Amino acid sequence: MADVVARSVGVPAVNPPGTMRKFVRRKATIAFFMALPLITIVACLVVYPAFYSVSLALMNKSMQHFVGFGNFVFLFKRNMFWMVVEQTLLFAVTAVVFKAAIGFIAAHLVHNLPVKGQRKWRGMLLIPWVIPPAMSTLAWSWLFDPSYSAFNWIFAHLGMPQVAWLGNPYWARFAVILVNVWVGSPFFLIMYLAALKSVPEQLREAAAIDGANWWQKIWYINLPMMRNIIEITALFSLIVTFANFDIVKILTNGGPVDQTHVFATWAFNLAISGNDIPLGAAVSLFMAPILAIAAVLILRNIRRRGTEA
Amino acid sequence: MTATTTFAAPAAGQNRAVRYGSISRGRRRTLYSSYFFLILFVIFFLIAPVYMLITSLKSSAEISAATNPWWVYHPTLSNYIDLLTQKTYLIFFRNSVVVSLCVVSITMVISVLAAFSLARMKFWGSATLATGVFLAYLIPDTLVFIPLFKTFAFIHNKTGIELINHWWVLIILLPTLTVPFCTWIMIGYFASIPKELDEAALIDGAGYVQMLIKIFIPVALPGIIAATIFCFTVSWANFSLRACLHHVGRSAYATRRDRDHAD
Repeated sequence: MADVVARSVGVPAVNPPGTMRKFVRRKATIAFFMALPLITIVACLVVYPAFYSVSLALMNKSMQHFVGFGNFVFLFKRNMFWMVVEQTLLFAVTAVVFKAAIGFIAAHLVHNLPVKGQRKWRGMLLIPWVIPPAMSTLAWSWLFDPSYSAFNWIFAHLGMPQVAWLGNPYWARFAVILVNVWVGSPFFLIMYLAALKSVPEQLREAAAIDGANWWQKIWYINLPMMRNIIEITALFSLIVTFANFDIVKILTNGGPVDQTHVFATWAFNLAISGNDIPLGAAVSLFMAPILAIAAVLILRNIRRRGTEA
Repeated sequence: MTATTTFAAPAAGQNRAVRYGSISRGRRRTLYSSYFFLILFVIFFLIAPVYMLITSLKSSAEISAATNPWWVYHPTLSNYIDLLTQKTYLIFFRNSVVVSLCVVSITMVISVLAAFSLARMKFWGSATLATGVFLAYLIPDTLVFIPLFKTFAFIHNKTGIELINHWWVLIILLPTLTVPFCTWIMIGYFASIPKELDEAALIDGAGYVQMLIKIFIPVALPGIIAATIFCFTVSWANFSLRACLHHVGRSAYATRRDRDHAD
């Protein structure tokens, strides 16, 4: 009896450090502590700002009091907002389609070459992807420069009319899309080339024996086999292009007459240059729905890819 | 049965002989057209960097004379010499290097540890966290820079610590972009390492830290190197966070390029 009492008294005294030590030594605890820096970073620098921008978007300009959806109502009434929506959609969709097309064609061309020579062509085609976009955009802005444009010099020598690349709204829209396609297509090229290499050669040989021409080989063999990668790459690029900032900011800064603004640059100009942080936050939040849809589709694709493999 | 095979064999042989010629001719044609179109693509892809290189070799006089922009008549290295002897440029360069190296080391430590725990040592909510890491990667920096800017202003008001206009703040901010992606890549790599390896290590009495250092890091080294390179390029090239830190939209790095432009 005394023994039992002693034990029952002793247990609480001895056990806490024991369970504590056991708790610390447990696999799950160690794992949690190893993941803690990641959790902290994601929570402080991604999750917190995302929610903070929602709460900012619901404030008035001086951020003194809560105005509900006032900023959104204000935006919906402005033509400028709808122009930005239109331009962002046009910019992102056109750029992604062209990037995918160029990447797809170039990947097939590189794949046609003998394996020995592929390396150097691939290297040359990857250069736009390696240069920091902010820097290559500067180079493009000199190419489009109103007085020294190197393209206009060629046009002048060919007897073609001069183009106001960044002065005319339509040409400026063309220019930002062109630079975006230029920066982004090597990524598609490398992804599609990898996907193309993983298509078994026997399938194409079997098709060739059955008399398929090059177009049928692409349409009935390469495309279905690469479908998953094509979708993931395009969706991923859609997110990045939709949220693009540096190309538009450096090349046109939204000009001429604000015709080339996308969500990110307009939000930046409103919030940080124009000092209306809530309105800018409201604008930037419009990126979220498209991002969410694309993210869900990507996750579904990746899962499907996982179960197929 | 035998009749069909004996019939088929010569036919196939003949067929192959005929097709061999046509395929090689067809292949040669595809090869030449591939080279032709690839040259067009390479011209398009190299136009900006080549133009940048040509212009960097020109003197200001030659640029303002508006001669052929695609050719250098009097190549000069004076722009490069000017830059390298200029104090500010070297400072900008040093800032970029310091920022990138710090960001790479912080990111790799955090993401290797986290990826190991998420891939191998499951805990409550680890699967959700892995998906969350991927979603965090998909959130663009342009969505978070406005609240971050506001937070900096708030911190400045409360504590007097000025975070805007300081280059070292990038060391805190850039991991936002690099950590989720590197973790996600490393989870994939660690998950592909056979379970038998860590079971063997556990039986030999290795702890989790030993298992990570002696088995996972060496085996997944190619993946770690790939993630490091990615991380370096992102922290070296990012513009939007730098623009956000500097009111006017010019950071150390971008200013340096502007100078390059001006010269």
